Amino acid sequence: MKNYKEYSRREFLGQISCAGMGYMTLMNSLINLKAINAASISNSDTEGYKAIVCILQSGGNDSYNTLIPNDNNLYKTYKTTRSNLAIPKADILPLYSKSGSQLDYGLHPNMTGVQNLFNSGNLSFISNVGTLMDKMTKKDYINETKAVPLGLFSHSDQIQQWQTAIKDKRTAIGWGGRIADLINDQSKSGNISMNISLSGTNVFQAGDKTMGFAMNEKGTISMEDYGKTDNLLNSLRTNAVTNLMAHNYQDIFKNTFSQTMQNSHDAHIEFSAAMEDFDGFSGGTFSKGNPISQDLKMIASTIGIQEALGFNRQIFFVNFGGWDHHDTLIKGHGGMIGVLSDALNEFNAGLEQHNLSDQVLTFTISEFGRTLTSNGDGSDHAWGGNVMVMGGKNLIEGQQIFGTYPSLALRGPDDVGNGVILPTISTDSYFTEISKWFGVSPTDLSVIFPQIGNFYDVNAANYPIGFIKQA
Amino acid sequence: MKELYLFLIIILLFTIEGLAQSYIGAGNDTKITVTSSDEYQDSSWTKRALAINTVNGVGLDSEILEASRFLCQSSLGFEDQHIQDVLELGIESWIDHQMGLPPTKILPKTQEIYCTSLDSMALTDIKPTILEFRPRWWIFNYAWWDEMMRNEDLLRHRVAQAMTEIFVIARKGDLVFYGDGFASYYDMLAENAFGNYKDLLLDVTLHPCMGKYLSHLNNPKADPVNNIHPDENYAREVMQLFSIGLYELNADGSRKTINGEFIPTYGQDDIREYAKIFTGLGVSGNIPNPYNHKTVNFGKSLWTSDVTIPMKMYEEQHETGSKTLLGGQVIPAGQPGMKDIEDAIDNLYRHPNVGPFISFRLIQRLVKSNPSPEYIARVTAVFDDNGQGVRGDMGATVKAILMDSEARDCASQKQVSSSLLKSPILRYTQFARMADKCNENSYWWNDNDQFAKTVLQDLFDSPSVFNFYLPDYSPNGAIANANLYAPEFNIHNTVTSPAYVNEVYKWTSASGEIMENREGEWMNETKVQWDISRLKEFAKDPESFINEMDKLLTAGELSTFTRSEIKYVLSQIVPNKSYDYLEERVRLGTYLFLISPDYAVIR
Repeated sequence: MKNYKEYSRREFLGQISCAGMGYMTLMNSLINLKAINAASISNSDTEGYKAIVCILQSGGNDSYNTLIPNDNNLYKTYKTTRSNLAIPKADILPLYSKSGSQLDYGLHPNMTGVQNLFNSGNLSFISNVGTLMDKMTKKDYINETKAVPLGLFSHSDQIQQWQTAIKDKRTAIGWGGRIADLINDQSKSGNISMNISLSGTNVFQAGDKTMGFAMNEKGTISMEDYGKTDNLLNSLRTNAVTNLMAHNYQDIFKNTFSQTMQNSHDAHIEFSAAMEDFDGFSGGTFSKGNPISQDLKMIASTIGIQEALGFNRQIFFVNFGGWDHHDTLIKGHGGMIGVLSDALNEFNAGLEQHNLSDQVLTFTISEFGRTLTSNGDGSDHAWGGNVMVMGGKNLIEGQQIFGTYPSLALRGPDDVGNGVILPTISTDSYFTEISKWFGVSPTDLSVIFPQIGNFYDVNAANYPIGFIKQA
Repeated sequence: MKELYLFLIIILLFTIEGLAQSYIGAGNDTKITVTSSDEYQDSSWTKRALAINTVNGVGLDSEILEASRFLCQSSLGFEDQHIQDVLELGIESWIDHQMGLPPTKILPKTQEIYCTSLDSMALTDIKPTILEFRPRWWIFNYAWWDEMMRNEDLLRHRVAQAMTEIFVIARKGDLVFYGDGFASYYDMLAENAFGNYKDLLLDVTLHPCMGKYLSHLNNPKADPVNNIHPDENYAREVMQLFSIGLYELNADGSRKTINGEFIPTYGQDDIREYAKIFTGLGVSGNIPNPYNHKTVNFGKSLWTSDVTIPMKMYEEQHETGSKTLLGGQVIPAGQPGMKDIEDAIDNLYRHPNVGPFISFRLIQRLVKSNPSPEYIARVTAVFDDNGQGVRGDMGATVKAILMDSEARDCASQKQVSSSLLKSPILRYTQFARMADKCNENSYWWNDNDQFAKTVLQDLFDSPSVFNFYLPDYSPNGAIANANLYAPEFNIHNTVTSPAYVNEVYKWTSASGEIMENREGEWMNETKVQWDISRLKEFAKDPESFINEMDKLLTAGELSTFTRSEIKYVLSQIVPNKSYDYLEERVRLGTYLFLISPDYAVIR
């Protein structure tokens, strides 16, 4: 049997020499590092099966109305600052530590699913994560003594940076894509990328040569009547479509157009065959009316057939859009955070049914936290925010809030103006921890996350934040 | 060979009177390049533009195909008659004529269809709910599709549709209930399509649907005691997406630099200043409603409000202090709020970025994904001054885009950078307009819901204000390696690609519908099906059918390969007892046309 991984790595190196576009700087540094340390080419750990699931809350989640102060004094500050955006204290869902004591922070009242996950040790929060070039104090920010990421507070830049981990340049190559370029796992017949998206094309999964494979909540999509040869008309259709897809059109737009058709068909054949033997989930695990839950159900199913497909490593992506609550924050955000919370809980239950939860790490990203202050009916773009990680009890350190929840006092130590919170944990540390668990070698980590050295020694034994259990 | 061809063309022009007026390049417009046979590779044009065909008249097909190619850039879809119009008038006169046509309005049709639907519902047991006092989003879709299937002001609506992808509002911004709002917003874009950019930007700013979408509706002045600051949403996006973008630009669209660094056009402080400007706007009136709401006030939602009239200023909610605009322009404290807004829009309108920013985006929507810097600069020059000292003349800008040698000249067709992937919606409208349709009442009502859910595009259904695709998106592989943009490929993936093929399958199958709507429950016969009788005549001869479809669908882009594949398929479908072979030729032949890359890509 052909060893795809060997082939892929050689192909990858071959590819680098002719890499086009504006990513030369990055790719050159990759080559150089490879040259210095040839061993690192093959030292990504791809033993066993592991998957990461990235859930993007695009628009900017108001994460200070997600994880909310529940201690009396802390709540008072929250209430004063957030004014008409504050959730009533009586409604906040309590969270408990492993020792059973109630934490100072609780959850939005619609997050019963996450409450269950947290209190049962399957989920933790990381507080005040944001894009940073380097460790930064409020004084650094105000005096402009240290560089800040490009386009702070802007959707397009920040959503890109959470997906690329490159904060001083605009690039469309995501860190999930770069990991896939290195590991380059793929399905047995090579038709399905290890990067699978339930939300179409995205930056996170695009590598220098990797393109995410898109499916929808129902899986891959067949073309009606294509493949049938039961009568003359169907045979003619099938043959003609086959020929159109296989033809090498001179125009690269045309060729890309037809190649995509070809790819989706080949993948569909492989995927649907693998799905035939999957025994599914017990009734009621995934709510039909919850679109994110349905996406996660398809991810869980795909993970369920990973052996048949032949993957060791997979990266999944779901975009849950619509978090830009400049208005109707209370109602809009409240509804959506409930949907996400239920979906996470159901996903975890589905994975547990197949004993997969210790191999699957689910994490949330969102381009920025929102201003603590109100603009009347909502909040505006800001910076640091709170994120969630979920996994099996042998995988993650559950039931904790990592990092330091910021002071929500206006003009307080963490507010850099108008209720914009300066992050204390860099996205680099967050993503590095996930990637390290996933098997990316220290050398590659420092290439994929160019500023990680400012926050963490990639050769250290411990994880940068610690939400993943030390092996 | 080429000399002989040109010679014969000249002979033809001088000898065949009358005919000389009937196609472009025949002296109607000097800017039109007449195609010559050996400029083309891999195209059926080669065969038909041979000298002998020029003499016998078949060679004129190349002019017909050029008219068709032009209509692919300047309309949402067209019929045979429109090709004739272009041939008769020539491109420039056709553009001028189009710009003079009164705009087809979608709002009246939206209201009319809404009444028709409600009247029909009243005759059944189905009772309208209390929600039914205004048309929802799909009624706008019915009206838009219905009008786009019969309108004559083709160019205006191609531009208006392009503008819906620049000045984005969308259903996902809590606007699903406001079909009248979408219609009014769309009509506003269409009316401004050939007007002045400054009026356009002001109308966009003051439209209540934009106010809702980017949340400057009911945006109060600062309330420091309660830690409430003006909403920054519109202030940011009007600069980033509707006017000037992130960095200072040269006239050719390239970024200016200082010491190798790009120069940002604005910063967070500027956003806060503009946020102050866009305070105090609220709704202006009500519509008849079951709640008996009769007055308006600041803070009133859209729910029972009239969303077809601009927002008005509630002075007491407008930030009073002075504000600093871009370039340091200070507007004094205490001005009327609306004057602040006009000043701020004027400030953006005069920014030198607007020309290259808007030109690039419009070229990408109409002509090609990768215009040369020179092309952008030529269009920018017209935007900056239409020749009569007027800045921001959108009509002149559109004309400059379509008349430019890079849009017209066939030599540029050969470049690797000359392509444009038609967006899914354009692939749909072009076929639907060309197709003869049947429905008892000639209601061409389409909610487009299934298409939007699977192929991921519909008017006003973008996932965010950043549209369906970004201008600089480039898919990995050959296109990225060639250093080219291809925005539409952002939504062409392993989900949408087969989904589009399945939509084509549905349109072209005997039981399928070209358009879908949800009125069938209370109205008879709202199905819209494809009437293939005209095309069946052509299908008697596969070559004739293919030529007709090349004219109406692929505009001369049909490659030799695709042509031979389709021809083979048609030739295998022969008279028999089990089915109507002509019908099957039309259905399968059209299916193959529509899924082929030759249809999907304009060059």
